[in-house]
Amino acid sequence: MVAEQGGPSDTVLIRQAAQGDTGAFDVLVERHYRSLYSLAYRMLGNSDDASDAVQEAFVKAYRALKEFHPEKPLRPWLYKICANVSIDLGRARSKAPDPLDDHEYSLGDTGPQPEEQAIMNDESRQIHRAVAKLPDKYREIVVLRHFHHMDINEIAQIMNAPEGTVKSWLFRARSILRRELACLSNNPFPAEELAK
Amino acid sequence: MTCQEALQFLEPALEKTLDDHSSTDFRQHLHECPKCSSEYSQAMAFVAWLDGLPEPEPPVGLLDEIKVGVRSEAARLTLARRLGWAGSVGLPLLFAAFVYFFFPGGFAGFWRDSSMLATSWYRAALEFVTGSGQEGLIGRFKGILPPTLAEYWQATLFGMVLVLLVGGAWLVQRYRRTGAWGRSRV
Repeated sequence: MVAEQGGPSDTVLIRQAAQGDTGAFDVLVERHYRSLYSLAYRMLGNSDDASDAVQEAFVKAYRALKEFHPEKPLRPWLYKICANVSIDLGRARSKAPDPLDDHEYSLGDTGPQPEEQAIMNDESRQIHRAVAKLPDKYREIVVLRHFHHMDINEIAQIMNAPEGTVKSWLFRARSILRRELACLSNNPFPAEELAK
Repeated sequence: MTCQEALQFLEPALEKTLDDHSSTDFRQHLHECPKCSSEYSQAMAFVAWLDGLPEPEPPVGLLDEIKVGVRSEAARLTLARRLGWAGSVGLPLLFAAFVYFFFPGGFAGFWRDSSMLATSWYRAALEFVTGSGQEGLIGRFKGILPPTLAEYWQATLFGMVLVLLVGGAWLVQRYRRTGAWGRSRV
């Protein structure tokens, strides 16, 4: 594995961290937390849940580090953990009713957080709503393929599925997504825009 | 190629996974059919739009929160390892010491009393299952089953203790390794 930013490679850091060096694991966290946050954010659709998911994912990764082969690429493994955590968290959140939901004078702001507003324009919000509606595996594929620009082979490894299956899931997911976005009242991609 | 067939080739064409022959046919159809051509352009623009969406920025302080969470987990795992070793060795020793010092008659008393207790439980269970009558299928089995477990008890007790010790040690070692008692998906 190639060393990043001039520092030791992930392989070296994984070995050190597996022996209990939390400083080495800190470096791995610094390298990968942004991409994991992005993955969790795309899958969960809000900053708080994404932060929880990333933290949980790194804790799980640290716990399972001794079982991970240091020669293998770290990123797909971390993505797999983070995607699983995000799916579990999303399911838990969807089952648990928000106690403030029924309150007439709810103080909870259901809109995006300030930092979310800064990073998300209308288009992004539209796509997040549409992505959030996708079934778990479709959502994971769309996020990995289009937001993390992974190739089908990598996604197949992360999802433990044959490449052909991943492709058909991706095609299906994209079709659903396009249909979903076409139905939105504030469609960021009207037909005339797309045709350009 | 019909429009229906072209529609099926649309997504593979976007991923550039069509074979040469199908790709040529598809391109030819797009050239001839403005509707499919427009559909393909829309799909391409959609994919490009998806690929170009801005990355969300993690909130300030998240990195520190993650590091704190990992350090806390590291400390917990270290404690779990120490407790795990203590538990593997200490709990059986504690149990043996309790029996030796506090059980009437020590090990021999425990052996005798537990045998009597097990036999009484066994009889009660047998009575509960088969009832007092001798009629019927279950009643017939009553005569076949041994009236007491006393003769089997020593082997049974030995087996139970072995299973408990091995199972307990396995659980403790698992906890030491994973830091969790329950099943945890990575």
